[in-house]
Formats: sequence, C-alpha cells, structure tokens
Amino acid sequence: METNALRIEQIISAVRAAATTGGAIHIPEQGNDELSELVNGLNEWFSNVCSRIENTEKCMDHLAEPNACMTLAGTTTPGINDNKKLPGNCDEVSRRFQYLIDNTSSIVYSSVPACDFKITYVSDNVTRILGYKPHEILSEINFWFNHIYEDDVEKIFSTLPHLIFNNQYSCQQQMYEYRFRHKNGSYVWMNNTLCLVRDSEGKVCEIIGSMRDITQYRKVEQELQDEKEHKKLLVKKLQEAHDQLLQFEKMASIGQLTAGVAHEINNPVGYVSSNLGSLKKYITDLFRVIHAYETAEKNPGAYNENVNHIQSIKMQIDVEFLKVDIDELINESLMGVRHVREIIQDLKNFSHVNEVEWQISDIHKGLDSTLNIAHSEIKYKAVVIKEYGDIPPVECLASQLNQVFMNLLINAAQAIENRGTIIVNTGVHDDWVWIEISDDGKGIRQENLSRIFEPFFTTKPIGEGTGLGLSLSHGIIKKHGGRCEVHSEIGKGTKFKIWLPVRHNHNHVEQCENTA
Amino acid sequence: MHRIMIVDDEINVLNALRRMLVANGFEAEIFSNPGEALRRAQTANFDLVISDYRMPDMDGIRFLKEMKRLQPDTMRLILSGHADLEGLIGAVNEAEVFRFISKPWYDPDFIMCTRQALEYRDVLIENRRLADTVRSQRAELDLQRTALQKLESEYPELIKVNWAEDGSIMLGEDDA
Ligand SMILES: Nc1ncnc2c1ncn2[C@@H]1O[C@H](COP(=O)(O)OP(=O)(O)OP(=O)(O)O)[C@@H](O)[C@H]1O
Ligand SMILES: [Mg+2]
Repeated sequence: METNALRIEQIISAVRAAATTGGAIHIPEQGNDELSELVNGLNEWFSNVCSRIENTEKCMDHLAEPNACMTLAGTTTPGINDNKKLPGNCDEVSRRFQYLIDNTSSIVYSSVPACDFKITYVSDNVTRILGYKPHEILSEINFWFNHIYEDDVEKIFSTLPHLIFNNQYSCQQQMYEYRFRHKNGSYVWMNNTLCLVRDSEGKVCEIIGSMRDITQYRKVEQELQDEKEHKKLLVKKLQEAHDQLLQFEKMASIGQLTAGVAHEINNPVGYVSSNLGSLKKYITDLFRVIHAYETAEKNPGAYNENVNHIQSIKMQIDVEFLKVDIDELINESLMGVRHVREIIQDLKNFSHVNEVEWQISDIHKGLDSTLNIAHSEIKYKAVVIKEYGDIPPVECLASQLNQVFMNLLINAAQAIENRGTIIVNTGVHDDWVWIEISDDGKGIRQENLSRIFEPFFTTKPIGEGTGLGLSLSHGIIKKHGGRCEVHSEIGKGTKFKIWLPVRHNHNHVEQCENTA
Repeated sequence: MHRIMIVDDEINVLNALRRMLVANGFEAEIFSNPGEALRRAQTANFDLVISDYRMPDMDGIRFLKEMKRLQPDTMRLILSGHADLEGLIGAVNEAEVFRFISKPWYDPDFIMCTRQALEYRDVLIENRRLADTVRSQRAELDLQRTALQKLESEYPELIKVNWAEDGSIMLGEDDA
C-alpha cells in the first residue's frame, strides 16, 4: 500500500509538470499492475495529443503565410485537389476544408484592393451558382466589376473605396446587395459580405468574403414589399373613403338643412327688398311735399294758396301714416339684415370652415349654433328646451362635434310625429362632460337598438335617411375618447347621452387609429 | 276695392306685403296664425288669400283647403321659399291654388300675380252671373214655348194660319 501511494504521488507530479511545461510526460514503468497500465495509457494519450497539436500548428503557420491564399487559388488552376504542396499532415484537413467550401451555398473569394478588385481566389461552387469556371474569373482583371448590374455599381463604389483607402476607418466588415450577371446572361441577386484585412500599418492588403445567391429571398421580399405597398394603398383608400363619407354626411346634413336655412334667409331677403320698394314710393311722395314747400318759398306772397296746396298734398299722401310707417319699415328691414348676418355666422360656426385642429372650445356655443341652423328644420316639429349646466371648455374637434349634435337633433325631430319637445341638457362629472339630447318621439324598437350605430342602418324611407348619421357620430365620439349611451322606450321617446373627456388624450387616439 | 288676406308666420313678411299691397290700391288683412285667419274668414269675405307654405301649426295647404271649404270663390295663392314636388302637387290638387309664388318674391311679379288672380276671379264671377242670366232667360223661354204648345193642341186653328197667294190670311177656309 505504501509503495502504491508513493507511485500515485509520482504520477500526479509528472502529469502536473507536463501540464505546466506543455512538454511530454514520461513516467517510469514500475510493474505490471493496474497502475502501470494507467501510466502506459496516459503516456500514449499524451504523445497523441502532442502530435495533433504539432499538425495544427503547422497548418496555421501555412495559412498565415502572406501567399497562402494565392497558393490556394493557384492550386485550383491546374488541378483542383492537388494538395501536394501542403504539408503531408495537412492533407486531410485541407481536403476537408476544400470540400466544405465547395459545398456551402456561399461563394468564398479573395481579392486585392488594387486593379478594380481583381479576384485572387474563388471557390469552385461559383460554377454552380454563377455558371463561370474559377479560371474564367481569375484570368480577367476586371471580372467582378464588369459583371455587376449597371444600376447597382454606384451604391457599392460610393462607399467601398472610402473604406479601403481611408485608414481611419476601423470598419472591417461591409455588406452589399447587388445584381450580378450569370454566365447565361441573367442577373442573380447577390449578398456580398466582405472583410478587409489590414497590414500592420492599417493598409488594406486583402479583401476576403463570401457571396450568397439571394434572388429567391429578394423575390419574396419584393413580394412582401409590394403587398405592404398594396395594403398601404388600401388603407389610404379606406381613409379617403372614410373622409369622403364624413364630408358627404356633412354635406348631406347641410343639404338637408339648406331647404330650411334657405327658407330662413328667403324671408328677410323678401321683406327687406320689398320694404325698399315701398320706401322708394314713400320718398317719392315726400319729395312731392318738399317740392310744394320749394314752390312756396319762391312765391312767399301767395301764402294762403301755398298752405292749401301743401295741405292737400299732405292729405293725399297721408304724411302722418308715412311718418310712423317709414320708421317701422326701417327698423324691420334692419332686423332682417341682422337676421341674415346671424344665419351666416351660425353656418360658419357650425362648419368651422377654417378650423380642423384640436381646440379648447365652449360646447354650449357649438350647441347654440347648431340649434340655430337646425331651428328652421325643428321648429315645425318641436319646441327645444335648453337646460345647460355649468361645464368647462372641452378640448375637441368642434366642427365634428357640431355634426354629432346636428345628427342627434335632426334624428330627434324626425322621430316626433306631430308636435313634441326636444330637451338639450349638459353637465359635468369628474373629468367628463356630458351632453344629453332627449325627445318624446316614437322611440327605437328593441331589436333595432343594437343596430342603429351600424353604417347604412336606417328605418327612414329612401331619400330621407342614408343611415350614416349615427355611425359617423359614433366614430367622432370615439375619436374624442368619449362614449355614447342610448335609452329608448317605444311611444315615449329616446335619450342620447354623450360623454366627453375634458382633456383629450392624444396617444389614445393614435392607438385607436392604429388598431382601426 | 278687393280685400286680400295674408297669412305667414313671420310678422315682418306680413308687414312688408301689406305695405306693398296697400300702396297698390288693395285692402289687406294680415294674420300670423292660420287658425286666427280661419276664424276671421267665418265672418268676413275675402277675394284673395295668400298663404305661406311652411308654418308651425298648420301648413299652407291644409289652411287653404279649409279656406276653400269656407269661401269657395276666394282665389288662393301659395307663397313659399321651399318648393318641393310633394308640396307643389298638394297645392295644385288639394288646395287648387291659382299660383305658386316663390320667396324671396319680386314686388312687380307679386302685384301682377295678385292682379291676375283677382281678374280671373272677377271674370269667373261675371261668367257665372252671365250663365245665370242665360239660364233664367232660357227657363222663361221654355215656359212660353210650353204655353204655346198647349194652346196649339187645344185650338189648332188658332195658331195654324192659311196664307193666301198674295200674302193675306184666309180665315175659315180650311178645306179650300
Ligand atoms: N331619436 C331617435 N328616435 C327614434 N329613432 C331614432 C332616433 N335616432 C335614431 N333613430 C333610429 O336610428 C336609425 C339610424 O339613425 P341614423 O342617424 O344613423 O340614420 P338616419 O337618421 O336614418 O339617416 P341619416 O342620419 O343619414 O339621414 C334611424 O333610421 C332611426 O330608426
Ligand atoms: Mg340621422
């Protein structure tokens, strides 16, 4: 046992020594037992490892020689697998290496920065991928350059020379994608990843790299790109259609109102112009009186005669009546002109011709303008009662909100069969403002209640309703980050309540728009 | 003088129309409420009634139909800024209006229309008067003819006259 322990210690120290020096170990043989066998095994294994290390080192040395690649390239010309020049031990490694390169899908090459990047080595698989034999490529100085698709030359040569000739660039790797002419004349998309090898002074002495056929990939990518473009176009078209719809609905709701508004404008225009006609006649009459006075001035002697003449004319034209009526006529006409001005102002407020941005605005002002415009449409159907609460200004798209109000008001008026009442309420709750428009019209049937926000859903006869009102209103409310509640009872009436946040969350809208 | 009734829900329109009509020698009464106008029509006659088309409580067509029932001879005009087809058809077929005047109106046209309507009415009434005269005269004539026939059947010789060659009347020589 004593001797065994000693022997094990000897073995351990010998192995340690070998590990630190890197040299071979030699442990003296001491018998014929298991320990001796272990020692033999270890010796054999060490010598094996040593010879492998040696071989690898030789190969490395060979590859590191400046002309090694040239040699590799050179060997391809006369006889591809002529590896006699490589040290015997490298034979198998080299063959394996050659085999791997030739069978990957990447063409491996080397080139020099001078002479338009003359190719100094190219792997055999180039024939499979591009149709050329390696020697065809190696023998033509400008081969690479001459076969790049014309339009793609620029993107390579606008950067590559910089990388090479400017020593400050630390970049060693560069990737290009371009079309390269196949021997059969067609073009193949290539992905070329190149690596700049610099000498001790930082000068590029060699370019090595690999090229891959990415035609298929490019095709798929192009298809994807096309599809993406197509989708973008569709989305744009959809957006346009939606905008148009919005515009159309706006026009339709304005069109629906023009009859009423025109009626409203026709009246003042009618009576103001008629009044001017009457005024003209009145003034002609008054001029007759003035004329009589003038005649009297010229003939002051005939006092009584003059007075009689003047008085008879005054009687004829009824001066007392004119005095009163001219005053009334002018006041009424001024009223008419003011009314027209107000209608036009309301129309402007309603459509907010110049405002498309988010703005902090007074909801009540919008409601009032809208009510004024809709007035001519509503007044034959309903009395409007306004019960406004004390609400803060709201950040909103005012003209679009007015469109919502208009829709709800017109819907309410249309739901009233004979005569009824429309109540407009507003109020505030926390950070939310609400607007409620209720009518005592015919109500909405239960089975329709879930459908009223669908585009083109209408129960109105053709020509009266397009069914877009509520669907667009809903869109506008959603854009504001708000919501809409409906309560309806057949025969009793309908209540629409809109909730709007006082301050608008712009991110929220973008999210909505993106998911839409 | 012709009496004209004007109905419109806008008082300023009424005032302007009255001014214009009075200045042109008509007598005009104005009403801003159709119901009130109908009540007045029960006690006073009008030659012409001009009504707005769109009014809150009662539209112009219903009002004019009612007016036609009360005073069939009164001419009817509709005044409107809003001439939809439905309204037009209703006005012509139901209320039998004479003309449709659009708002805003042009005074000379308005006056011309008013004159034409009144002339038309005068002619109608004159026609009716003439027709009545003709009818009563014809009735009188018929009466005379029956009397004559009766006389003839009772006394045939009374009316039958024998003329001589020289144009004289021969009496009592029937069979000659
Ligand atoms: N206040 C209401 N009372 C009763 N029914 C209503 C009311 N508001 C909407 N509706 C019902 O909802 C339907 C859809 O309304 P929406 O405003 O979208 O379209 P529309 O009014 O029919 O047509 P448009 O608004 O395009 O002229 C209406 O046809 C009607 O049946
Ligand atoms: Mg609607």
